[in-house]
Amino acid sequence: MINIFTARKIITMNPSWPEATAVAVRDGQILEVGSLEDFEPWLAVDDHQIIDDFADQVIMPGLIDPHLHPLMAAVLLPMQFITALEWRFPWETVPETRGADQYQQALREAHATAVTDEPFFTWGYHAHWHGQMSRDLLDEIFGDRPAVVWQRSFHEVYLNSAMLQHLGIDAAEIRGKHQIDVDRGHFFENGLSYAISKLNPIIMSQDWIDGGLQRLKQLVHFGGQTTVGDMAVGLFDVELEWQAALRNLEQPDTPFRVLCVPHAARLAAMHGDHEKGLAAAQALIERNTDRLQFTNKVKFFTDGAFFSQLALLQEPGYIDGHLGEWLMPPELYEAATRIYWNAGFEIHVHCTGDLGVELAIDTLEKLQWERPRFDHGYTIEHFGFSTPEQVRRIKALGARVSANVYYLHELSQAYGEKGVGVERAHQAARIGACDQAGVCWTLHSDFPMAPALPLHSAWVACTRQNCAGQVVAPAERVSLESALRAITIDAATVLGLENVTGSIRSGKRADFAVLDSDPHEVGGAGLKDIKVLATVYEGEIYPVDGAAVP
Amino acid sequence: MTLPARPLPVTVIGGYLGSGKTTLINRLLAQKGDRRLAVLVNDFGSLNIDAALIDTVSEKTITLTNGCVCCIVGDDLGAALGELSEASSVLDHVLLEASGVADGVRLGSQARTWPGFLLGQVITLVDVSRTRQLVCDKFVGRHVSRQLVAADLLLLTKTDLLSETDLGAFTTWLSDFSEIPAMDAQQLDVAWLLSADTGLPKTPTDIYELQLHPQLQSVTYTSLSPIPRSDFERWLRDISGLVVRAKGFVRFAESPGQRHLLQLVDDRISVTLQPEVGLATDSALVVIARYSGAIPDPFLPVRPPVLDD
Repeated sequence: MINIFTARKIITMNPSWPEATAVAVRDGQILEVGSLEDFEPWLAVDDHQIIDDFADQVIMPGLIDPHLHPLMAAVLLPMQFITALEWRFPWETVPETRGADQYQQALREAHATAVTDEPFFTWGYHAHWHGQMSRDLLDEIFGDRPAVVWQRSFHEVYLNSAMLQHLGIDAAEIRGKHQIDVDRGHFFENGLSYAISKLNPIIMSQDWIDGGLQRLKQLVHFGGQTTVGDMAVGLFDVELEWQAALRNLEQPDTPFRVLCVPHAARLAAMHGDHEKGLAAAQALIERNTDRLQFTNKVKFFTDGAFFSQLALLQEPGYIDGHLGEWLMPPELYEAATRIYWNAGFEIHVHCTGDLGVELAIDTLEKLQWERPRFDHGYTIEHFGFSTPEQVRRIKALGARVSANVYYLHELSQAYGEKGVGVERAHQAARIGACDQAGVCWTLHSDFPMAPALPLHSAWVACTRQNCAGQVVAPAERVSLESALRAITIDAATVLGLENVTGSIRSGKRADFAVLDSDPHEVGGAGLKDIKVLATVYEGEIYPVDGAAVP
Repeated sequence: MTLPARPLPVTVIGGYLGSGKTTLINRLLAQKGDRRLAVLVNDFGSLNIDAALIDTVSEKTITLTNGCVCCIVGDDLGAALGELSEASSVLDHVLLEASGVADGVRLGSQARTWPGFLLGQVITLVDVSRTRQLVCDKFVGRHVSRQLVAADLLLLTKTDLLSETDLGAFTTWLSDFSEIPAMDAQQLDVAWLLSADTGLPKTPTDIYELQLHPQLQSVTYTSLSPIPRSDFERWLRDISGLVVRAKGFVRFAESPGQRHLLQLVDDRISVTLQPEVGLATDSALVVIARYSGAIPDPFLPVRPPVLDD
């Protein structure tokens, strides 16, 4: 049986055959894209039905987020989001909440509308937007109900008295401890790890994780995505993550596949060293299921997190003089990547600062010198701070870039004022230069670090508009066509799935996003307002129901 | 969690890759006497443990028959310390191996955050054959430099690789570079290092924090009138966690003729009666904090609320 989907317009993302009005699908595979009349030779040999549900809509290839973290998302998603910026989910649109009074009001409302007296968790608080937080304030709002306020950067929590009691934390035991202020219920930086050890029985329980992954499933679908990359399997625990993924994601109602990229340092720690880690990474490929697929890819980390200003910078560094952090000593990075490089693996490396990027490039140069490889898939992930000179070397060495443009959207103003100064803050995620140099580049959310909405990311890439409404480093804006490639075919290339998905052409899987308007008509500035009405994953239709509540 | 009777000292052993951290740990294990050590390492690979001493082995822990335990710490120091604190009543000392690019002081401050532990010494091992090149390295130069200036003691290793002249030149260079006391690791007295009080001054790390964290601010508060002791104690509670260091003299309203010395280093606070010197009648405190604006004046009768950071 051949299913023929018709549309007002099909944007194929195949530059040789860019537009069409119908696509013929059999057993989840695209037979042909073109016009209904073109399909006669196929229809002569098989039954067919015409699906005209989308006849007035626009069909694009299923969108792709090549870098997010399902289990981290699962920990966060059961929490109530109260955030300074809007977050759109299928179950709710979290509005902007700015101002101390507004924030406290939001807490009171969340408490008042709760149906249970289960512990309350919220994420998104930031002193810059939301004023002071304290145990007394939470006690006043939540009374005897245990409550946790998780700060936006993930590096701080506040607990109320009921939660301290619920967790069995004895205030006297930790009073005066470094980076714990028990009187204010505040646990930050090093003190956070103590608080998390107490919270783990709740937030790492199977019920919590499964609830979170069910929500992740909905939001990935809501964003129009039919493929995502889990860019650090093993971040928590390989086996725990694999079982959770099997339970929740390898299910018939999951309308996307997950390309799983294991965390090299975790594999080495589990198995003894990187040689054994490589063998373990190769063995993971044998586990592949329909939707969960390991491949010859591996994930490394150079420097610390962008959100906590632990990215490593070249001179002149941070304005206040603090240093970023190496997550792995540079010599060990080189030695470990050499093992994977020589085994033919594609290396993905988290780099947030320009010194982290420099290490990634210098190491690639050495590896290329020792054992040249072409089309090796070495990909710089995040690409927070960089220099134009590095972009030239990235091109020369055949590397790719997967950028998080939310850095510039949420943080360019703040980091301009407090952090690195305007020049460097505004040029975060230097993708315009990558595009001009012909580097293969894509966009990701790093969810839960940023919303998993590829059309929103593409809008930021086209406009470089930050949350304060400023257009930052306009010379780095990209064209609509480049931005659309970044969330479809080029994302597929970065994941090594370019022959499977990412464009609509004969032979690929039938993965589509059905849009209510035409990106070419609304232009880059209109991308963020386009609604995804449905997705098609491997030929099956999955309508997006905005009213769905988990 | 049961708290140990007394906090366990944690000695941080830092230094760049190849500087001899594992060698030192093996030596400490061999010469520990009757002290019961917990050793937190990055991996077991190079630990030189006598097979006859091994009691039980699990993925992350090796328990020895001589009362010691070795654990892999990975990147979750908190979890390792949490497990250790369960067994802390049968331990005397914790050795914590830092990764090659770790900031020992930062790691130490994490260790002392955990209930039941206090920070002993932060030691940096210094490979004399390589360190001068490393401080200029494009990627790790600033981190290696920090390890040299942020520690309580520098232990020189691989001194046999240099001629006497070159070694002299190195130590001259090092003493210009860092004020931290340095000695040859071979001359280290293990019993002294593992004793409760080595007598090493703790001030270098405080100076270092001011130098390397320009956002740390120093502020002085003075008063000619004595302050009620309860108000002062409330102020100490308010500033907990916000202050890196505070020191000075204070007079209490209950006994205005007596002067007390306050010393606060992170989580350790002492207020001790001081002999009277001269006729000074004032109180004066120096406070070093990340955000001095968040520290209320202890001598103001009505204080503003503590500001958030």
